[in-house]
Amino acid sequence: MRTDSKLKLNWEKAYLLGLILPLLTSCLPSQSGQSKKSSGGSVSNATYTVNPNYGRYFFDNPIINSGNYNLSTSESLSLHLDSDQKFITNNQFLIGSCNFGSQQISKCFEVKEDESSGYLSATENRWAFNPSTQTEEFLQVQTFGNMRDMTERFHNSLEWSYDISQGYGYNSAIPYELTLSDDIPFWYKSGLLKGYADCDAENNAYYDPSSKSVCLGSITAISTALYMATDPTITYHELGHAYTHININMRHRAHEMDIDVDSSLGQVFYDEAGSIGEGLSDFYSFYMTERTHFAEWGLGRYIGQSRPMTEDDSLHAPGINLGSSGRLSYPEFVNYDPNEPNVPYEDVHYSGQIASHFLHAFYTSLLAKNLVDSDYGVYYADKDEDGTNEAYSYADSLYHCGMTKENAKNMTMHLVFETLAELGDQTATGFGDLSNDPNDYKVNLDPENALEWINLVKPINYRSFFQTFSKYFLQTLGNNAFGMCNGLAYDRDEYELLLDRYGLLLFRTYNQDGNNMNSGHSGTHTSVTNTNRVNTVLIDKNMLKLDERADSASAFVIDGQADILSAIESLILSGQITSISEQIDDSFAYNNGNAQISPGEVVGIALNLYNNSNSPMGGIQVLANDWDHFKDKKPCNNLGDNFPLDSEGAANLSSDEGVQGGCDYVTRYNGKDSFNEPDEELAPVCFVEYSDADATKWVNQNLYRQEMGLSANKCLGGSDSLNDCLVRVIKGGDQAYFSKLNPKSTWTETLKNTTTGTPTFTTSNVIFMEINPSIPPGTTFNCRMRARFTNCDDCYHDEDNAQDDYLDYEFSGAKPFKLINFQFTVID
Amino acid sequence: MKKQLKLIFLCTCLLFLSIGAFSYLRWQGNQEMAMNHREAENKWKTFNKVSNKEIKSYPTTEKERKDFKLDEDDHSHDSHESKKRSVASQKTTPEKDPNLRPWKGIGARPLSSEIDNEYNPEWKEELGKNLLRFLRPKTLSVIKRENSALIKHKGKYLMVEHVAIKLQSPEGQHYGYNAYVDSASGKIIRTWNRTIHEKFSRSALRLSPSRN
Repeated sequence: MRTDSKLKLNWEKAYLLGLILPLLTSCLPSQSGQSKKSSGGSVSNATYTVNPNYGRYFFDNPIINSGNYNLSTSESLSLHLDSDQKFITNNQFLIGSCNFGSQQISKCFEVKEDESSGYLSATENRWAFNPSTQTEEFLQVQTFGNMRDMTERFHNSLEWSYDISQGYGYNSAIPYELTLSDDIPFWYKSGLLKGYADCDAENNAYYDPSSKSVCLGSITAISTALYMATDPTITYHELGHAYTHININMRHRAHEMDIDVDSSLGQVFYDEAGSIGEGLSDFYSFYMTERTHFAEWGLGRYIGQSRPMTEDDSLHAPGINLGSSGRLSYPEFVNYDPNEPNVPYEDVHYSGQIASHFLHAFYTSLLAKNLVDSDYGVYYADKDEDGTNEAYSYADSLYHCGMTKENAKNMTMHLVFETLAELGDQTATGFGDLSNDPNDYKVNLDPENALEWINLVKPINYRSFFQTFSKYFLQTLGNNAFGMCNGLAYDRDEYELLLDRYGLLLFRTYNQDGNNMNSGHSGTHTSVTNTNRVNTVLIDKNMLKLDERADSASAFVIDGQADILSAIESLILSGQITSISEQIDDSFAYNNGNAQISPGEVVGIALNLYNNSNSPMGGIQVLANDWDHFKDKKPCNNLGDNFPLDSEGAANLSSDEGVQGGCDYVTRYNGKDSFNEPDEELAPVCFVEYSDADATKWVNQNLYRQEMGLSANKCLGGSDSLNDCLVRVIKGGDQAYFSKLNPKSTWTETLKNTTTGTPTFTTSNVIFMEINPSIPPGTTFNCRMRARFTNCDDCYHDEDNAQDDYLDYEFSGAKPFKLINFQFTVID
Repeated sequence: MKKQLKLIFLCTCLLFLSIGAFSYLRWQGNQEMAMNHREAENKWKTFNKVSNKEIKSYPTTEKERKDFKLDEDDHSHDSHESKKRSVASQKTTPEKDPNLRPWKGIGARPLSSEIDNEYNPEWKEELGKNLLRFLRPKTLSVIKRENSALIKHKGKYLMVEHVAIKLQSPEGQHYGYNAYVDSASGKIIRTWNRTIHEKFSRSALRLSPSRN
């Protein structure tokens, strides 16, 4: 028996094992599943480095992971990939499920390379692909990981929000039926959101609501392409558009309204609804990363278009800070690009920054003080105006509600969810129970007209969004009975002051009673404390007018053939306009570019509006849609413009006040209810000067047509549309937006967008009209358009009803608007 | 005699059977044609503006499906109507019978006599022409019907086709939206769900007013 040698051998073996084993175990992948930056050295992300169903992707962008703001696309992203492996899916393909309450959608989202590709399969059940050598595969796993993480978080927040809305007993816009409706109002009715990780969109990424997909393109102009999918903040931004789309359609989906046409945020190239949508999407990026900068890699690194979300970001221009007067305020900063601060530019992404900055500031105010201390530190400002910037604690100067980060994020999103659910509601109930009772219609007039109100007549702008946001703030955080801030209510004055720092205290009451024609003034509408309105300036609507200065044009006419061809093509491609009259030549051959309006042309009219006040105006909107300004086929002259004179054919005002058919009566149903309002109809904006033997009068176009002997089938809209027979505003080109007018300035002077002396416009600045080829030259038209702006006082507040908001039906008429009469004579 | 009677009886039976079979096959053929027509309308169709005077239309090719990035399994339409199995023995289709179209308006469904338009089987061709009328040559559009419907528009009750439209400019820029199309004229009545582009370069179209 050779025990000694055996023992010795065993000890040797044990000694060797003791040396080798620790080395082996250190090679096994960890399964934390948490995002962790690489600590130097590359992650090969090869198949063997992960467990089955696992892979790796960026939770935040490579610049943040690497700390290198000069990171190059020629560098391997493996160097900076999150080192910990993450669970991807145990499905065969990149298809994910989602849960909301007790409901599960098994096919909730999916990812492919692009729309026409097949599904990616795992390699040996593993989803680890090298970003450099297996780019297409990696991009798909990357996108899937981000979609899965964000969708899960979105639904968690929505559940949190639902619990608040149902548990606290206030008039919520979040519908009770959110979890019960067959139309799946917490997601898409079809159930599937698609992500395309490399969809060949150059210098672009987009959300396509018609196919419910997110497309992530690339920047190919650099030698090694930069794929948008490698910057998760861009993916989060695009997904933000998708969640906003779901949110804004939530109520009528919950009510199972059998409608096809969705509500949306934004209609034209530039408008404030679109701006708010972009700001929300930027904030969704913060919602995921808790960082206040968006797209350093995807947009910042090579094209210098990343965006901050807080004033102490180093990208901001001097003078912008977290002090009370240094905020990114409305409307001052609507055209501000932090990458090029001296060049104002009208774009929804820039004006959206006001929304993202406010939302972040509001979120911060919800935090406990110690959280603000640790994350936000100090800011520098020259408060004592001694020429030297001193350090001030951000935390000290802020209000603190005392929440955790998670609760603060959820609460901020809760108010966003409430706001969009109400403002996009096509049931028109807005908040509270869903019903078909006209007495419950509190927003967007009524179901038949809701889309027209949302898209055109009363679109979402900075005022309506933040008034509604504030209403739900007041009903939750601001409610003493709920004690959401460490047992207390969030101080309402502090909130109004915060809102005012951003120029967003644009409303005089919180309008809790809504806008129903019968009850809109009889409920609660808590007044804002006027002394809290320091930075926000409300301006009288009469301060807005056409430029009447010497040597100024009242409007610019775009009638060059090339310009009109480009404009109409752009509008048709984007779906903004749907049709042009058959009376108009296919190639716009009648467009002669003589700056006059001639028969047979399609023209663009850019009104040269002037701000006659001493404060900037924001969100100027011109409406050229049909409205209630004619009675008995004659123009009313009691609408504020005193036009036309009685002797010039104005409607007879002798009917009883407030009775249908009279000029002081506004249709309650937008002229569409011939049963309840047989004498009410809307009229096109343009009417005609007609001279007979006795006098010169202003008449509707159909009367003029009859006098000139033009047959009905020669009308622009055919024999079915006689009231706009001769001059017709193109549907979809019937509203124009201007982002800002500086004091005592026009839009072109504000944007300084002319180097040759002639301004240029985008399609959203222009009203488009068709001019009938049969119009006799010399015929004079007057187009009575309506205009308003966001920080207008008497465009929204009814001084006859304690400054409560005008009722919805009143927006069919003149009261909420400044009337702009644009006259022209048709020249051959 | 008996044999002759039997023969006559047999021939008569065969004749009736033949007539019956022929009628049935013809009816089935019509059903299939209607179904094929409907299925064809529910598939992507390309309209290619070859020149200012010529628009070609044809079922979307595989290459175009890739170029337009059409999802092979696109079930983007939310309504369940298109997924319902049609009645086997129905004598008419939603195209022709407004009673079979879902009512997408507010209030009571209109009577058939109140419908202001009639179904035109060439509506898709008319739509393609209308869509491309003002667009440049080499603009492509693909159109697919999602469903048929009944709506109220400008005070009139209309049969419409709910479609998905995708367009590609000559420069390759992609656009998409949903639309209601008049089933008679092929004219677009309204659009929604338009693509939200990020457009990282400042490439907005600029319009210059004319000088006088």
